[in-house]
Amino acid sequence: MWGEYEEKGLVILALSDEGKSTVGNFVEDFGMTYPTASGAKSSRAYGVSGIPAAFLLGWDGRVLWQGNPLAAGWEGMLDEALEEARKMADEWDPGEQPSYLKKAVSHARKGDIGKAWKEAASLSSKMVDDLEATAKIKTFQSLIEERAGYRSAYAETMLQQGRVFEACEFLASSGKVFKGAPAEAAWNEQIKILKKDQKELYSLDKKRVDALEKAAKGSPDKALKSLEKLKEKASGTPLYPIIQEDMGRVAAQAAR
Amino acid sequence: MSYLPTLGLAIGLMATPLAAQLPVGSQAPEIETGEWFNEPVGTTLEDLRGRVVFIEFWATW
Repeated sequence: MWGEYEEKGLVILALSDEGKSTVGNFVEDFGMTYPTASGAKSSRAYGVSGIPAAFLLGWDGRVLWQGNPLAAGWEGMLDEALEEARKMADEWDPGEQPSYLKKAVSHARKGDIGKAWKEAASLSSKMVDDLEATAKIKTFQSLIEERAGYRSAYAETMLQQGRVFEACEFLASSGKVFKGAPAEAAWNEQIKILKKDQKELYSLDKKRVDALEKAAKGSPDKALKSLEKLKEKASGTPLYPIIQEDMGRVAAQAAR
Repeated sequence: MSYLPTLGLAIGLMATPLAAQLPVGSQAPEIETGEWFNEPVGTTLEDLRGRVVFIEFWATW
């Protein structure tokens, strides 16, 4: 069963808090094939009070499902999660393409989407008289634009939640992958506008992310104080319920 | 009024596990581990960003 999931692209990590030799012997005796760790110290951070317990994480590291791994439930979400990860991945396989696009395809497979775009654009100008080729190159470029669209949509979801800083960070890192493609310029422009027009939300969200980093580094109490202040300032903005949720999680972390 | 303590206990039992476990939608904290077996694709969630990950807490017993 696990082999099938791994072939689809799922990464399985088994964590045990037992010692190296106990886990090592078990892995060997039972022929476990997926990554397994001994001496894990993450139960508290994950709020695990009994085993087995499992978490399915999406491409962005967020929890999609949590519960008893034997109770299934998560399997139904897996294909969608993997599909989402494929859409957002830097590395990407454009499928069957004409031989003159070989270089562009190779860039795409390596995750240099910007280079793939530029290669296609320069081919297009060289083969301008070949109508069939230019059409095929255009189709290839539209695949790149489609992938840029997935990222824009993801950023849009964050913006609707008032997570302006996070959205800008995401668009900036996406711009690096799409360097030289039209999406990069569009995102840079969008970031500029957001930083200006949504200055206050941007700064609030940045402080929120800073506070969450403090919590992640083991100071949930400090983080809670910062979030409490931010919540007041965010009153009436879409960020308010987001901060409230964050506070719930950090408070739970502090209580563990 | 004898039902009050029982009710309190019941609410307590219901609330505790829900509040404790990392909820859906939250950013998963980095994992801390000792020795790895079976050559992990990445040993940290940071390395695995972009991949779909299934983390299982288990024990040999």
